[in-house]
Amino acid sequence: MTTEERVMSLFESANPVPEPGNSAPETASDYLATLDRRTSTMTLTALEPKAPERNNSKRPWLMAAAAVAALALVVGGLALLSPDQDEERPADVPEVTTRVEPDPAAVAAAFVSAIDSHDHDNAQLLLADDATIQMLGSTDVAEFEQLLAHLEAVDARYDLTECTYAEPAVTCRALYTNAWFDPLDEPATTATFFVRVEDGQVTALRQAQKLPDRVWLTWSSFVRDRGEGDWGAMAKGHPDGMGIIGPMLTDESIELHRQYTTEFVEARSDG
Amino acid sequence: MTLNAKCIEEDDSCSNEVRFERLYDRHHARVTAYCRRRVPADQVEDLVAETFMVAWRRIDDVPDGEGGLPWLYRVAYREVGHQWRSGSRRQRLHNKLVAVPALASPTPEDSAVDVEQTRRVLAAASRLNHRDAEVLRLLSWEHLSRAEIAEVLDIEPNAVNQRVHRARTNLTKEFNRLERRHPDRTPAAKKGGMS
Repeated sequence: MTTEERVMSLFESANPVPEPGNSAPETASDYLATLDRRTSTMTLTALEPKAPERNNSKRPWLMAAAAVAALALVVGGLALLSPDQDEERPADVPEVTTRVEPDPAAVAAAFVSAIDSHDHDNAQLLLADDATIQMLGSTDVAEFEQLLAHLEAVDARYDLTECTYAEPAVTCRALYTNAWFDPLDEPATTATFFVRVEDGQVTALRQAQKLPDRVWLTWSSFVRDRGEGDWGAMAKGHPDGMGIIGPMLTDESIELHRQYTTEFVEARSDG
Repeated sequence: MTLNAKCIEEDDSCSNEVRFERLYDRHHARVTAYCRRRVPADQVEDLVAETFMVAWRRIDDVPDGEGGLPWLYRVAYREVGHQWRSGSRRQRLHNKLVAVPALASPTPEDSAVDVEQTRRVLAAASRLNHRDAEVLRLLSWEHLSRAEIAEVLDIEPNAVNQRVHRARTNLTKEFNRLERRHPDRTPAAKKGGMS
C-alpha cells in the first residue's frame, strides 16, 4: 500500500458520521411548521413567495432580476480586477503579462493599511492597480498567500483561499461572493491571479472570467439610464460604464438597484 | 385515498408539500450527516434547516428522486461556505480545531498509532484549501460518484478527476510534513510507521 493509499484509507476511516441513520428528528410537516419562526439570512426572501407557486411565471423573472442586480453590484469589483472583460477567452488563460519590478513596498503598505482599516474601496483600487499586482508578484509565495488570506479575513465578499502550487507557478483564485446571494447562484465574479517565479524573474498575471451577458445588459442599461450623481460619475469614469462599485454597497444602493432592476425587467416584459 | 397515496410517481401531479415531504424524509439524515462532518455540533441544526429552507423555496428546481441529494449537498456546501465567510478566519480555525478532536475520538480497540495517524490525517486535511478538502470529503465520506461530486461543486466531471488527484497529493504531502514535524513517539510507531 502506498503512502497515498494509506493516507486516504485513514481519511476515510476518520469519517465522523460513518452511518447517517434513517430517522429524522422531526417530520417534514413539523419542519415546515417551524419555518415562520426561523430567521433567514437571505435578504431576497422578501421578494419571494412564502411557499413556491408553480404557476407564477412573473416571479421567477423578478427573482432572476434581483440575482442579476446582486451580480451587477460586484461588477465594479471585477472591472477593477479585469481590465478587458469583453473578450471571451478560455478559462485559466492569462490575459496580461507584466514584468514585475521589485520594491513596491509603499503600495504594499497602503494596501495592507486599507484592508486593516476596512477601507475596502481603497483596497480594491490598490488591488486593481498594476503596482499592487507587482507588489503581489514581488512577494514570496507565503507572503502572497498570507496577503490574500488577510483580505479574505476582513472582507466577507472575498474568498481567496484557493491557491494551488505547481512549481514554479502559484495560482490563486479570488472569488467574489455576496452575502445576499442565494446560495445556488454562482459567485458573481471570478478573478484569478497568477504569480510565477522562475530564474529569479517574477511575473504576475491576472485574468478574469467573463460574466454572463445578462449581467452586462442590466448593468450597462442601468448606468446609461441613470447617468447622474455618484453612479453617473462611476459610469462616466469608464468607457464601458464600469466604475468603482464599492460605495454602492449600502442598503440604500442595493434597494435602489433592486428597484431599478425590477423596473427594467417589467419594462422589458411589457415591451 | 390520501394525497400522498395518489402521488406515487414523483411528477408534476405531486403537490409541492408532498414533494418536499418526500425530499425531507428521504434525505434529511444524509444532509444532517453531511453537516455534522463539516461544522461544530451546535451549528448543525441551523445549517440543515437553512438547507431545507432553500429546498422549500426552490422546490420546483429540486430534481426528483436520488438527484435531490446532490442538489441538497450543493446547497449545504454553499451554506457552509457562507458560515465560514461570515466568521473571522480565527474563528474558523478555532472551529476546525474544536471539531477535529470530536471527529477523531478513538475507540478502545484503536491502536495508539492509528489514533495518532487519524488525528494527523485530519489535521493534514484541515490544512488543505477548503475546495480540496471538500472534494475528499465528498468522495470518502459521502461516497459520491465523480459525476455527483461535479454536480455538488458545479464543476465539469473532468475537473473532478483533476481535483481529486490534486487533493490526494496535497493531503499526502501535508500528512508527511506533519509526520516529519511531529514523529510518532509510540513504541508501535518506532517499530513500523508509514512506508
